[in-house]
Amino acid sequence: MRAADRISLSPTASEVSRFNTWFDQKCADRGTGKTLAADLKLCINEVLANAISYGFKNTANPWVTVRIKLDKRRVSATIIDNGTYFDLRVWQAPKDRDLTTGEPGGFGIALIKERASRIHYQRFCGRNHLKIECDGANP
Amino acid sequence: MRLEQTSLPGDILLVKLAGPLDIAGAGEIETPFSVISGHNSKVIINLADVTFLASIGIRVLVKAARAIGSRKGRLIVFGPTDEARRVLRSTGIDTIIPVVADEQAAIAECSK
Repeated sequence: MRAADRISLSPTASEVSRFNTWFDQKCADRGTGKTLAADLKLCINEVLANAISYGFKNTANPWVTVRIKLDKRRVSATIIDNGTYFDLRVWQAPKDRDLTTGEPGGFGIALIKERASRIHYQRFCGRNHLKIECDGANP
Repeated sequence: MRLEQTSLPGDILLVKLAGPLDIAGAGEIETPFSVISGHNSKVIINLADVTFLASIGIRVLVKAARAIGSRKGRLIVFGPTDEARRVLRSTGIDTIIPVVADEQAAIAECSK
């Protein structure tokens, strides 16, 4: 079992870049498998992008922390933020979406649901607590 | 994110992207892509050096493909890494934006 690593971020695009550099280094240090690392990185990026775009419109001092655990066969991230309540598990992709005409959104959450093996969500103390686990079992 | 443009014979514009197409990278190319898609009808995009592709990058590509498609033009992408190809396939974007192996195939597809 590996100890968790944690990073605190401001919800901005440049901070996501800083997170990605940090995450890549952690995965390299731990020898995390390419697919597992890619799955978790994509999921976290989608969560952060969604939060930056929609999650902090009414938040005075927005922040996000990401804690990761990188084991050999399973990786996970716990993402905590003080933004608007949002449980991505209940989000449904628009039915009959036409990629040629409709709003090109919703891909991110669909990707998370595809890549994640488990998604846990809790809201308490005015914070979103989202845990995403990837074990590489998904296509 | 680096973006290079090269004009090719047949009024084809080659756009080479390099770096991560995350939220920061997508923000950097959004305006250039808007200009490119407003002024060109045949665009091929080299994704070989795109080290990471998130959905926000997909949105930029979809918007460009739609703008070009509205003028009966074509946008083709080529050379994605295995992981980027996986993202393109997962989102279904490869059904509206052809994804091919290399530049020659992209030129051929664009000229159809």
